[in-house]
Amino acid sequence: MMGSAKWSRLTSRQAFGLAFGSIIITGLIFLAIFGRWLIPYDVEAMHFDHLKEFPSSEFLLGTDRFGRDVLSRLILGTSTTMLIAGASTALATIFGTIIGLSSAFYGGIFDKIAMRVIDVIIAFPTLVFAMFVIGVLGSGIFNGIIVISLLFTPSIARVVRSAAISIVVLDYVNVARMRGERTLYILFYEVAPNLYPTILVEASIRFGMAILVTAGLSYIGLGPPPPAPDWGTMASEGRSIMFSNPWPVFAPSIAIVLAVIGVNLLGDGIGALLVAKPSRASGSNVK
Amino acid sequence: MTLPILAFNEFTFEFETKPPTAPVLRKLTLSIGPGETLAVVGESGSGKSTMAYNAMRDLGVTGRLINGNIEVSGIDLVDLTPGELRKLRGGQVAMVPQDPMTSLSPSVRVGRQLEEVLFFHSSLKRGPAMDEAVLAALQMVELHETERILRSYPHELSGGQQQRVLIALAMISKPDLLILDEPTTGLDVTTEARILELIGRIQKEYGTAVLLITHNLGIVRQFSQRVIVLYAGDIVESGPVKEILENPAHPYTKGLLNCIPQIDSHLIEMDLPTIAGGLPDRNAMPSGCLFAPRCPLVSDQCHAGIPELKQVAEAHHVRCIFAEEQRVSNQRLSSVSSTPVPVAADAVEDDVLLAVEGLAVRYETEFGVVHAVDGVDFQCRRGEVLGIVGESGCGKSSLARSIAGLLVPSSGRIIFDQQDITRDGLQRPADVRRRIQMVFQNPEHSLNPQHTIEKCLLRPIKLFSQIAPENYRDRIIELLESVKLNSYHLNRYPHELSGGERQRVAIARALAAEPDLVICDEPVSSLDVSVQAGILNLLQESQRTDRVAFIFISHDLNVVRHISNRIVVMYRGRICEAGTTAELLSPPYHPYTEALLGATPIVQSGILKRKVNLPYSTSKAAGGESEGCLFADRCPHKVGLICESELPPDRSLHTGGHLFCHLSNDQLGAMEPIFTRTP
Repeated sequence: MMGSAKWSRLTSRQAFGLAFGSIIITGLIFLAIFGRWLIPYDVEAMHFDHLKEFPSSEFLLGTDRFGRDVLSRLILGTSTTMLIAGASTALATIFGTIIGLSSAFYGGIFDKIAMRVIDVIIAFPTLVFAMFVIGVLGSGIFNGIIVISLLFTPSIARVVRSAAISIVVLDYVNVARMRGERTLYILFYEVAPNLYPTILVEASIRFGMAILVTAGLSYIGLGPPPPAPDWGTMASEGRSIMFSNPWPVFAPSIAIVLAVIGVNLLGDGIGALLVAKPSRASGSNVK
Repeated sequence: MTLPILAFNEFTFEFETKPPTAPVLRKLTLSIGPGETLAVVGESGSGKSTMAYNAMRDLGVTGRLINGNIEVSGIDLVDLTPGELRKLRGGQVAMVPQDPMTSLSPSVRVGRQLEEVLFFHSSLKRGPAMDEAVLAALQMVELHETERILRSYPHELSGGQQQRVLIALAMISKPDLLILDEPTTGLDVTTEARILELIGRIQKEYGTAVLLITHNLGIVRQFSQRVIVLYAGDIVESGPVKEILENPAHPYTKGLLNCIPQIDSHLIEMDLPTIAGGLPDRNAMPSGCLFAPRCPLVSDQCHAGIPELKQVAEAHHVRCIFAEEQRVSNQRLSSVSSTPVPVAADAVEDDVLLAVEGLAVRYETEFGVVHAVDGVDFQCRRGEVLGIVGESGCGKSSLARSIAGLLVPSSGRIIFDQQDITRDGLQRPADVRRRIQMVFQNPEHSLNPQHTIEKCLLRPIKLFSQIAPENYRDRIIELLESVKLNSYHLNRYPHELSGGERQRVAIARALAAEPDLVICDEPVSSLDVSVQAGILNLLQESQRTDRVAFIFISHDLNVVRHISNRIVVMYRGRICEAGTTAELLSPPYHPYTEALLGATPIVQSGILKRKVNLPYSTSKAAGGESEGCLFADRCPHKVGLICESELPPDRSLHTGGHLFCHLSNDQLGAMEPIFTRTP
């Protein structure tokens, strides 16, 4: 009975989105894991008689200027892209939520310091900050993840804080305090469940941006080192000749769009499933 | 015959929803003549506000007119173009909305907002003539520092001043019809009394017709000539106020009147009658009389179809098949028998459970230090209901939060069962935390929307009781049953419950810890009268059966005196008067208590109320560091300069209570009682 009650929380639009989003994301995860056995060509193999080709039965998504198969590169790129974007978003969401919740709950000097540090990080231009950190840590997938999560934690923390601030003053939190509950209980059992939709929507937006930042880092040579092709790198590499050879740009761009849409729909749907009733703080007061 | 100012004819109105639901208003027919005041009463959800908005043809986004029409001075609103409607709204028909804080534009000066109305609804151009009209409007609503108020932003004014500005905004275009949607709900009783008087005076002066939407029958009695009782979008009873209040014929009207605590109910020690159940679900309306599922008189005939309105006396119409017999019978109708219960005073023991000594709470703000609570002493005995009454800003909530451990007082001591607990809740012993529980005003905010009712009740049981885990569920069901809910509610979420049911869960949660003291901060203020009565009964029952002491905080003297053994009256952070309920209700009064009693609207017939003239409160915030009596600036009995320079002495006229006033005992003793029974 409880199960059916949960499903009825979805609007038909959300139910459709949830189904569509899960199909996309499941597919991408599948490709990320098994892609290396599914690709038709070696990603580095250059077919010099097939330079800059449009899609054909031989090369389903065409070839790039070195005659490399776009489809193969796209499939293999899935794992790098999903790993960097997924892991950095997850890390940023976890830390951002913890910082945002505590900042809202404790308030006072803790809140002031946390918010000023966040301002400082946000004030840095993204790429300058990334160059600085990678300059210290060195490039690579793992460091890429660290950089992006560092970049995104502040904005997630801020969103969570501003939503949580209207929750922590409510009487059910007072009741929990009066019971003598521990802070962790209050933050994660009383406050956080009201913020799931907010957090998930913010995380899915960040996920999309993480893919773009990865591309940006690759563009200035700070991304994951070759030969691991990620979608952002593919798109930016092909950009200079995209009018004569559009598919190496199109294919990864469409893949990025699909992934972002998929994550957004999934995040929205799961968020709606998780809450009994959207609280006012979540901003989506469904009538 | 003159044309009615407002007329609804067979008006049926619905909101488009998926799936479609029953209409919100059904075949509504009514009319208001020039200068007449018609009151509309009913529980929340009965369609009162929808009706008010329709009188200005504001349908909302999903509203849809099914049948009938609305006429204002003979003009059918349905045919009007948007331009004509714009002229009508704020011109011929004006409205004073419920919440002044959200109804005035926060970023526009008051003067500018008044000019705007004139700009659209009069031929005046900006200039001296318009300035004069604006000044006249402010004077009409008794706002005297006109210069300052014109230049103010709404947040710089007090609640009463804001409400008066709204009235000025509505009246400045000299409308024919004034719609008042719960005009005083958010205001203090003393302010409420003044505002109602003001509206009454303006109405007489300009001959304006008034449509008054309210849930407060006391206001209806005082203020209107005719009344309509709305139930689930149907008029169930209509007629002259005196006739309806004295000879109500519909069981619903009777129920509404009965659930209001009578002026002497604290002496009778009876459970309040309640109306069982709630408004019918619009997805599954009953086939017959809409009130049948809640009606104590229900019989088979009631399900045959919706009864027609029939006339039972002059101008008195009732939608009930038993109307004639009911009108003449004086039988008190209720679904719970109002049997006398054991006198609750027996539950009170002599030993002091909670003592508050010199408690003060000060807040630092940018305007200086605010003394929210300023040296308060009182005691609460085991098993006693101690009422704390006072208007907004009197510090009653800060006091409650200090006792609850949510706020550390600036000075003073809180002694609970001989232990000093003047500190944050987390630093109190777990046993003290168990023994002091709190029920908050708004159950919507005190129950976590993401937790089921079971989860919500489970936590205090887990933390505080010695029950074995396998018995948790039985205990939860037992608790739910003690607040008249049942196991059906276990897996519900708060938003699936009505306001009254939610407050019951909040009470069950407080009782789950088996407390000795429950602090109730305005526990019934957000509820309908019909629901309010049930909650009050519940609290009294747990006082009797579990010997729980309650600190019952409210601004509503009617409710406080019904439930309390003793009452403390607070004004701007200090205690004015404290004593038993009977002592407080009869002379000698503290002048502030006298004013509060005089301002409380009374529904009961056969009671005469003496009027007390009290000036508007001028201060917005709680008390300052005044050396004298904080009530001096409004006190009708002010002795002289001594009131402002010296703290009033305790006249010790009450048994174990206080009365702080500069009036001599003789002067206090010479006060006339506020309430007298007419022979």
